[in-house]
Amino acid sequence: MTEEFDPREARLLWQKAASRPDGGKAGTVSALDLAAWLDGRADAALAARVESALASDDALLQTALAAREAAETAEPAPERLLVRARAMVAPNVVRSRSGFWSGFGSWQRRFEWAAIGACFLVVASGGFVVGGGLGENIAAASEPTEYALLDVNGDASGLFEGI
Amino acid sequence: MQHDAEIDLKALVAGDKRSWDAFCARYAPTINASVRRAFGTFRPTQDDLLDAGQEVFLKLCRDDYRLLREFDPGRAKLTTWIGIISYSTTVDWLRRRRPASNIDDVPESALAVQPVEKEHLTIPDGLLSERQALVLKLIYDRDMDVAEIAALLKVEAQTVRSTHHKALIRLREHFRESPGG
Repeated sequence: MTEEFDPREARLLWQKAASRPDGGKAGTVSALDLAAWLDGRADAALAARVESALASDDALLQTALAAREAAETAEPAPERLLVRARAMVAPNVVRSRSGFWSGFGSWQRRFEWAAIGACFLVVASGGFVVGGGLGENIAAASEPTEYALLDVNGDASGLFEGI
Repeated sequence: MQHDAEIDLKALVAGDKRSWDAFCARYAPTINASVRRAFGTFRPTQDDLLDAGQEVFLKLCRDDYRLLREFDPGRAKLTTWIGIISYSTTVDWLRRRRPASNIDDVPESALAVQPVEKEHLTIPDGLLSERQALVLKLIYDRDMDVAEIAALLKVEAQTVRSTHHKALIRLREHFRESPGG
């Protein structure tokens, strides 16, 4: 035998039943639990827990319905939101390897360092050559010293002459 | 349909900027849709939507991506989970943002503490299964039709009708035996 219900009686029965105060008895449901249930991946025990919570917690039910709708009908986000979101994470600073060479970074960076080093050498060598080289400079630097010694000797011999 | 697998979550939570940018582009539409729904009947300005959306992204990368680290792709789709996080974050954000009323402007009756009336238990635990209670709630409190509920529960429409009918039979029997509840 099949029992029939007119819609008014059915609604009244639910309203009487729904006035129970133990609505909060269901255990807590995490966002991941709810997502698993919405995706149809909850096992029987989790499904019972989530459904019990949904039946007694309007806010949770509203969250579930809205999240399901949002996942199905995503709306294009304004570009400004994307700009703000992307700006929350700083660009990567990655040190791929440790050791002496890692301080020079990638091969491009090493190439830059090598080019800088080569320029430095060219400038230094050029300056050195223009300046006359190491041997001439040393000779030039030592000559006045000899003259000074001679002068001193000369002066000294002169001083002693009268003694 | 979006494919969650395309986002490298491990690289993202390790701080990889490129993964974060890809994540933003992929899930901003879901976040935006969820934020809009959370505003409900309020009429948000573009700035409101932006601020609330920004709050969601902030929450996701706060504490070194704590929330994203806790997500388990084996249990649920990232899109679904993001929708839930976005909705609840926006609801919290709206609560915090609600302007505090000046106590002088509030009528005294509204400030009076209402006595708490403890309702009596009308049906015993276990009379309805969790699913039966949820089906009744969706039909009578949310005015959802059988097809919508079937889609939500991922069952056949006939299963929903049957669950509904069995639940009503139980309630009718219960209230017939104990009319006072």
